[in-house]
Amino acid sequence: MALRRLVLVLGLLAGSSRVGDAQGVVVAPHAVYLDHRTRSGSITLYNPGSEPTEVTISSIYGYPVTDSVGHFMLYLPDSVQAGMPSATAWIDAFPRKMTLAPLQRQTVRLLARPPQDLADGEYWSRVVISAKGGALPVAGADTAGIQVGLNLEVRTIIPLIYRKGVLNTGLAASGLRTSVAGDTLKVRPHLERKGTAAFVGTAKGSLLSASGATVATFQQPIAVYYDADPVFTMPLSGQPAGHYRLRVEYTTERTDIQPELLLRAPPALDSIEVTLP
Amino acid sequence: MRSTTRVSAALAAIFSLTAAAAQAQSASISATATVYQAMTVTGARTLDFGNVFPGVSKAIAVTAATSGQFSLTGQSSANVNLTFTLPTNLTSGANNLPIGTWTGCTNPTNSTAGCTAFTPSASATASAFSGTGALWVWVGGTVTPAANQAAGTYTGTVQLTAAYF
Amino acid sequence: MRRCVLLTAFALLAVVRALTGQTQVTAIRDLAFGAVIRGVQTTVAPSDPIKSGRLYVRYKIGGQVQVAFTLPTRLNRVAGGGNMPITFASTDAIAQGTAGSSQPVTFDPNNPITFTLQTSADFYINLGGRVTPAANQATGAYQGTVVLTCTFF
Repeated sequence: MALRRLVLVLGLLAGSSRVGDAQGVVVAPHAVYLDHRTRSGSITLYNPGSEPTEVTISSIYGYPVTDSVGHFMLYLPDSVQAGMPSATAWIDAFPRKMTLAPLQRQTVRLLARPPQDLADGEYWSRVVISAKGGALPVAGADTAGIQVGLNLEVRTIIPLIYRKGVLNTGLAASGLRTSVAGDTLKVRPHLERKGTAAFVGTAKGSLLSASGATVATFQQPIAVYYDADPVFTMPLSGQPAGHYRLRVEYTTERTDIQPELLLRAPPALDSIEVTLP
Repeated sequence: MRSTTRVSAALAAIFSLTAAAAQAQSASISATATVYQAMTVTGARTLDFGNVFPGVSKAIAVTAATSGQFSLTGQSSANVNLTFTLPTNLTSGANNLPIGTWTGCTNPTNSTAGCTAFTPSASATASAFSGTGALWVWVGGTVTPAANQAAGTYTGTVQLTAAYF
Repeated sequence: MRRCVLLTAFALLAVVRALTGQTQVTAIRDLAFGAVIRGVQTTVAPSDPIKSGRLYVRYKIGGQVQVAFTLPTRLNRVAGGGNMPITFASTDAIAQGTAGSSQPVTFDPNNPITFTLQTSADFYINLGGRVTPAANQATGAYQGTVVLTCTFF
């Protein structure tokens, strides 16, 4: 039986058959905040690649939760029930479809048309930016004259928060526990959101020696919409066995979000004694 | 003498007026910009199986030079969810070629050494950006051609969704 | 002699008064880069109808106007705690008279330049530029001040 060769190239996410010929889309900001007074906002798209990219904008309702091992996951309900603070149905994007030329920027306007009786509060949605590169030829096809197109698609999902009225936020931290896994300290708190808006901020952990010196730290952006039981990891390389104290602070500081968009709240603090083996 | 003084004073006044004729006016505007954190997902390298023979399965490991590769950038240390939409067959006209046994690996650096393995699927895989806001993802898989698999070039589409919190 | 001196003085005074009445320098629009992505240089062309800075100058036909920019080298973060480089290239300014026959003149905003007003008594100046945010540039609003000084002859 004559062996026949098959040439297979699987296209991935705006990639090409050549290393370094990357394709994707830059989305900024990575979180959108709309206010009821202006009811509008925008995102900027940028194609850093050398090929045109088709982009489609859509939206879904979802919010972050934590799974059984403490990882943040995006919960997407099958349907939006009454009482869910979803803004998805009344926020539109313009344009919804576009083709970005290489190095082209595009501003996408987001306009909100909420119900007239919308109560004060915070409403959530997720903006989905789908980018599809063009069909790319495949080198080395076994049969001359055959052209191959690769459909490449990538999706970026970013949060959208709509605010109406005077809102407040806060966080209650409790149930702090730790475990050692190799050279990593796993930190697991129980976080309960307070107030009327999601807690968007940063978790900062410090491991202090018996003498009070800081020997290890971690810092991670967090977004707590309801309750969460996240896991944070802290490197322990070289730390000797003994007794330490772990302090964790949850603040409404973020370096990646404009300061005026952050709802401020007093820091939530928690601490626990830690024994390293 | 008094007339000379008056002339001198008048001439001085004339010269001062002449200098004032070249007068200046100013106006100012602001230069403004708003810096945003961006999120980028880029397909850096195609998953390439190369030549495949009928009846002979071929697997591309995530560590292979022809594994699929993606690069993501975002806020340092931030969490991100990765989900995949994967084909079950590659196609060449009416011909299908099964593909599966997907493998994946993530790393905060551009190296598969010490990367964290995962199974690409429609279920989310939790990951996080490095302290410098980088994340690399590799994808491998296995194709299973039939003994009478038709010749041709087979293609498919893989979709990666990166969800930011 | 005295009468001659006084007449000359009054004539010059009249010239100065006329000079003052004809001159105008007005800010029209800020140079607005808008959304800028960390690590990605952003440029606004002087021909951009929305984002470029724009000023208006009025004098008289036949007059000379020297225009000089005082340009910032950095934009400061409004909330404090950082700044970002801003630069202006030799082609980042355009002067355009209001007469239909006026031709745009591209010039270097980093250096003073003198225009002789031949077809228009007034003209607009557009200003472009570029900002270069670092990969870890602090997010938020940034601002700087651009001053245009016109000397009328």
